[in-house]
Amino acid sequence: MAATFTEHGRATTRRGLLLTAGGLVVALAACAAAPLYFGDYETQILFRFLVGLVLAEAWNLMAGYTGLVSLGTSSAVGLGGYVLIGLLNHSALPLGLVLVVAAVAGAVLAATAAPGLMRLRGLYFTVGTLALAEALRLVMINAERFGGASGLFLDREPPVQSELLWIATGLLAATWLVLLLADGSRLSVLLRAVRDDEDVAAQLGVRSYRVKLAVFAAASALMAAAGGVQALKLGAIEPYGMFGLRWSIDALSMVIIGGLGQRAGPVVGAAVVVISAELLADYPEAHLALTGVLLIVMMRFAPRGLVGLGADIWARRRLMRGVAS
Amino acid sequence: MLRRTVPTAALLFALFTAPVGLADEIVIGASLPLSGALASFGAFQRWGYERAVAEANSAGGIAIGGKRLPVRIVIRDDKTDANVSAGNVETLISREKAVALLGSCTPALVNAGALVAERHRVPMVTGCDPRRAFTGVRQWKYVWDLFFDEADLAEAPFKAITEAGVATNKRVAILHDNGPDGQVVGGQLWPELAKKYGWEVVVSASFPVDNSQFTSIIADAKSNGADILLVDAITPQAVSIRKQIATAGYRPKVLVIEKGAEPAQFGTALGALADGVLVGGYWDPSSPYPGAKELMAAYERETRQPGSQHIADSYVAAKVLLAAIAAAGSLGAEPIDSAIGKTDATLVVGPVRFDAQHFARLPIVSVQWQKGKTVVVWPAAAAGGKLLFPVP
Repeated sequence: MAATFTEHGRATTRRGLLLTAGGLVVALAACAAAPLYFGDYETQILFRFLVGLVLAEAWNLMAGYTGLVSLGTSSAVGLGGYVLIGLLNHSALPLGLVLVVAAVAGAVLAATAAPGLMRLRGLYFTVGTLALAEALRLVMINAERFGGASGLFLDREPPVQSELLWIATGLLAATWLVLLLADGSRLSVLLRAVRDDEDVAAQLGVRSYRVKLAVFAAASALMAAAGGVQALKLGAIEPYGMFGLRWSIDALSMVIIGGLGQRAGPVVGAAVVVISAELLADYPEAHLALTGVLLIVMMRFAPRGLVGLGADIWARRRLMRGVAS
Repeated sequence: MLRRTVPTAALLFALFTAPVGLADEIVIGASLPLSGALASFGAFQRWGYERAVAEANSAGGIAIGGKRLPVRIVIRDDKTDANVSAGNVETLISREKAVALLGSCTPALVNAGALVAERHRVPMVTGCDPRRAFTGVRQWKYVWDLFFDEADLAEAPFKAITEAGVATNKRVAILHDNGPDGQVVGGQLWPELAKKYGWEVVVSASFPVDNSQFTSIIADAKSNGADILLVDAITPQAVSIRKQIATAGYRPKVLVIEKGAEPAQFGTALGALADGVLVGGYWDPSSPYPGAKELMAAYERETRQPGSQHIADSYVAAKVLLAAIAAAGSLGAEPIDSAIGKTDATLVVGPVRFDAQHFARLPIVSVQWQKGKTVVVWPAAAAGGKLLFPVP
């Protein structure tokens, strides 16, 4: 039976991969069918969860799998939003193609910035991505051609809620496909080699620049597409919201809370962040404080997040049972 | 494991899906900037909205189908983020079952929520969104705005200075943020008006809404000898600009700071430095309209803080909406929307009548900070004091 690789280089069978893929397909089908059994409110929350999850998955691909800790999520999100609204307003391209173009724009942004950013490592790379996001935000605020600080309005009616949910589900499917390919192939080993020690990986023949560029471009494409979907839902975008640091912080929080580098980490993290934001919507200070405390606690006591913590507890209990029997 | 997971999931599901809007009440919703850069505006608006609702309830509620129902207002914080504003309005409609909505503040936040209300066909009445910024978005069907017209606001200082007959060198410097209203007032209208009034624009500069360093453009205005300085900026920047003007040793004879010099926080932050600053306003407690003085007195009594004109437009927006619900006698969107459009009343901000673009224009006055308080100095008919000239 053919073997592939996952976290820590453990081999897993093709059957395991198929089971995972099957589970993901069921989850996607459940999301797509949500408007049939959920009301408007639950559907809206699910939409927010899906957009957040795409961002978190893409961020996890960069930071968790490859060690590229970015604070530039908002640059791709904002770019995707502007590309989508601009193309829908000024072209007759179908929505699906416009979303693809938005994603490509995200990848192009990453490829353009990579020669400069990839010279930086660790904290310097993180600061570089933050600078990129801020620079783009300021450019868009001052670019009258793109609506300046007033932003752009979609000159047609956005899709209805159920259609938006299906689009977001489709984007999540594409995201999971990318992750399955990355996680279930030789690329998985290359990513972790670069993450764990880039210099050693290079000595062993890994072309680290290419690996990092591929991941950066893929993650930026997914983030830009998520920004496009969000802009489509809003129908009105402006640079402060679309290029706001909030997108970067949200993606980071979801992954840190769920579990950095963990396959299920973004799902759990996105659920915690979206649900806590909704439950504490009337207490914004409490929500900020809770998120901050949770991040600190996770980084200090559970660096593998809730998923890692759960796995550790589960393993310990099984061990105890084994010893007892 | 399953025994724990199922009840937890059920609890979460119940929390999300519990019907919060009861059939024996009227729910209206509002998304407001209660935190973030515009939190000072949001606090005033909240008070205005809640006061109007409290008055409706103390009068026994609103009669719907022969039964008087209490009104409940649900307010959510949009954190000064248009994305959150849109999400809040969605939630107010879908979860809280709000039959009508009240707006946020500034064009970006108001328009983001208004587009959602329009899409869901839920009537909304808002203030805090100037004419061009509001009507430029689209032809609205369910959203109504009562606020000032940028053209009136832009011309007010020109008229105030001209009619006061004060002597300046007619050299003017214009500094404005590049927000929607800043671009219109500072970028388009002020240069046009300067030409019309025979003033020479020696400096015209724009800056991002979150900028904090203005020394170079202030130095530019000073070196060009501008006696008149026109600024359009939000409050935090307005405070910074005034301080940096003083630090630079620049003493313009006329200093206008639109938008940012209006809230009480401006005067509190600057003390004596605020004196002499002119700002356009659409309401003042001395306005000759019914209930104006009482409204401000009630605010100051309840909060023990100085008020703002934002308590007035928010209060009136809520009054207009509640009156429309009462006139409609129904919780249906179409009857309420139709009743809003028929509004014709003189309220604390003056006459309120909506035009074909769903906009009700509020009259503008010029107020000036004098000894820690704002005094109406133009037009003469509404003036409560004389123009302080030159700026101390």
